Amino acid sequence: MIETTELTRVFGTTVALDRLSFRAEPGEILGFLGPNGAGKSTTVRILTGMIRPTSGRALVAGIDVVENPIEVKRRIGYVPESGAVYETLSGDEYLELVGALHSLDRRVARARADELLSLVGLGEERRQQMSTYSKGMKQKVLIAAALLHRPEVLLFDEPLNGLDANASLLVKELLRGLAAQGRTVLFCSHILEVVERMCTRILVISHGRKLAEGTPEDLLSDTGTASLDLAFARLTGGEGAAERTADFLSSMGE
Amino acid sequence: MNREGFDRRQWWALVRTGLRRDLRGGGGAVGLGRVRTRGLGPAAALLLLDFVLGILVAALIWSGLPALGAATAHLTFVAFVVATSLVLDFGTTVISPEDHERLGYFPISPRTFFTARLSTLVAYSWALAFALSAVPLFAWFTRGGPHVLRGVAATAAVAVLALFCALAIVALYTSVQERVPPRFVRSALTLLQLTFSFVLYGSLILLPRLVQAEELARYLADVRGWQWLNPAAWFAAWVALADGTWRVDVAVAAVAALVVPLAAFALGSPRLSLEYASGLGAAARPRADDGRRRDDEAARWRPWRARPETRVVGLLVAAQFRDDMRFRLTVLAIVPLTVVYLLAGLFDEERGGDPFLVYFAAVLFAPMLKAAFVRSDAYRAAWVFYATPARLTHLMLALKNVIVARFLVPYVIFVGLLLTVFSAVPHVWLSLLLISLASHALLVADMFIAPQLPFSLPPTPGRQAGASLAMIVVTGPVALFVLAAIKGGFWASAGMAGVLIVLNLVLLAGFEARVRDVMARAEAEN
Repeated sequence: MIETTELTRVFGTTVALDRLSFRAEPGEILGFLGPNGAGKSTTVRILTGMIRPTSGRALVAGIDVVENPIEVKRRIGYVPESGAVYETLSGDEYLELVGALHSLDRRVARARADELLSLVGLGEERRQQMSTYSKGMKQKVLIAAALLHRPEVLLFDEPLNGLDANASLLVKELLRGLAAQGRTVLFCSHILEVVERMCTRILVISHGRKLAEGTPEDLLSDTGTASLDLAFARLTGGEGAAERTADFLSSMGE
Repeated sequence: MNREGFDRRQWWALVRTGLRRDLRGGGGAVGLGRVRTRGLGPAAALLLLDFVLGILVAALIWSGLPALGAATAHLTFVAFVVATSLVLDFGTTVISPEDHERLGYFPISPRTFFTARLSTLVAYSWALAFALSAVPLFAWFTRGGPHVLRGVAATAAVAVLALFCALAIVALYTSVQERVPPRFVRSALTLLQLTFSFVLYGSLILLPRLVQAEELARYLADVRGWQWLNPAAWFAAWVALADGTWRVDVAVAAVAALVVPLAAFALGSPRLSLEYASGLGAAARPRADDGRRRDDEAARWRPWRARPETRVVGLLVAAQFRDDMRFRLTVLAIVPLTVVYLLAGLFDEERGGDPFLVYFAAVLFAPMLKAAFVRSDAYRAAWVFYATPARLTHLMLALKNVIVARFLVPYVIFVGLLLTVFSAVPHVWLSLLLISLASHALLVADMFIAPQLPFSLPPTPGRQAGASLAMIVVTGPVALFVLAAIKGGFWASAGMAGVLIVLNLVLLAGFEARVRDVMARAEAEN
């Protein structure tokens, strides 16, 4: 379970999050949408205990992220948008590190790492330094690392970044299955078709504020649009893309 | 989680990761950066160099100096090598703002993180200290016949002094992060680095010149009074006591050497946490008002009619200096080194000696800067050089031109003013031309040997200190030639200027072919 109440975060004079309240239940995949700079990653970083909110409250698996961040971190699996890993480690070594950081028994960690890396399709490359990996390969390692300790809450920030079609399909199936097991999934993505098909509910924010929340069908009916793309554009002021593009293309043709 | 929030498995995993991260390096560079360096890694080369320097220190121990003086000399050198390497090469191991991004969401307690970070630093410190002390410690065990207690005391002194250096640096950096308001942290760390470098280089190079040679000999013969201000002497007291030198001041110093590391530990231990890394990460990020400054800098770094490649490199250098803490600290560690040489050189001349070090510093400045300007955490972005029609040779030459125009020329003018006011060097401006040409020739020769694009290689611990020492060794003879020409009079100077101009032209003429050759080899290897 994830629950935020009036969550606010201010960086200097910039209000990144403005009294954001929402709730995600076990077994649910909550799509978390917003334009660039809307405050999605800030929210996720607060939920992981990486940064503190300026005010408001956030609970993850029923635990306050400010009062007990270490306990929260034990219960989450996080795929960061930045894709930051220690690139001088191999995929195997990275998972060994993650296993130790989650206090997993060495043999259990190794067995799970083998299982997960095979699942995401990393073969012999797992023994090479990640500095030689493609973006998609690093993403696979991060996804495997997020699932290694079998967390009850999954915070996936752009998890499909760099993945090929087959790997994307696999991750989507995986997330559905994990939600079906009763885990809570917060899914941030800009790929709206995927969000529309995968998520049980969707939360849209912009400038740190909640704009809309509901099932995909609710959002379409509330905005009077036929697709999530159009609903998102209407909610976040992104309409008129066709006109702007036409203007630009005509200027390029001159 | 084990006792009091410390997790041994996490600690070991973090230490291993830290060492792998710092010592492997190098992977993933693009283009020319992918050419692999064969033989010893930079860290191993640095350790070998320290081992060789240790033989000189051992000679001092065997020379018959009193134990306290010889141990003070030995341990001062250890402190200098460890502190310099930590500041120059491992400074970002202390700072490590990237840790928060990679580890912040794992259940790691501040205590475990601190212990792991400190363990990594201590591992580096001990590796450096014991590489330097391998032969000197043998000397302490054997000087004037076998003496186990003295050898053990010397070993303990080396170990604890190296630990103290690591702790002192941690305590300093973390105090700044904790006490200074976030918006001033970057500036404060910059100032700290500058001060640190001045103190380090100044103490080793300037101090022996400021005190008379006889005074230094007297110092080593009998350490007393104000001489105890040198912390290395406190640790040397352990060796002296083991050797049988029983004095009250020696005993007090020996106790201080036990108490002070504990105080440094108490000061640094609560602070070196992931939150500390997070604070530094936040401080390292550009501020909201940086946009305006960026526009100003862009305008400043676009000289009229400069080649596009020169504008590109100028812009990159300005942006890296502004936003890349590691780069900024590296550059700021170079400036004091040369300024200290300058001051020492002028002081020598005042005492009737040659201002050799003035020339040495000026010739050294540009090549050392170049070594810093090719390494950056942003090295992956170097793909852009290969994906645009920019010519690689032009980009490399642009790097040289930016160093010359923005750093070497102002520096040489500064040196010229110093020489004009404080020195009796003849035909000063012809001398400056010689210095500029010699520095330029070294810069181009360095580029010729290893053509590298700006900010295209990953930072590798051990490389900066090793490169600095190698550059110092090469620059010495060049500076001697320049000085000899200047002393030879106007025509000798003019002749030398002519030779250097030809040398520069030859190197530049062959540069394009050299880059093509290296590119072809890089492509073949990858």
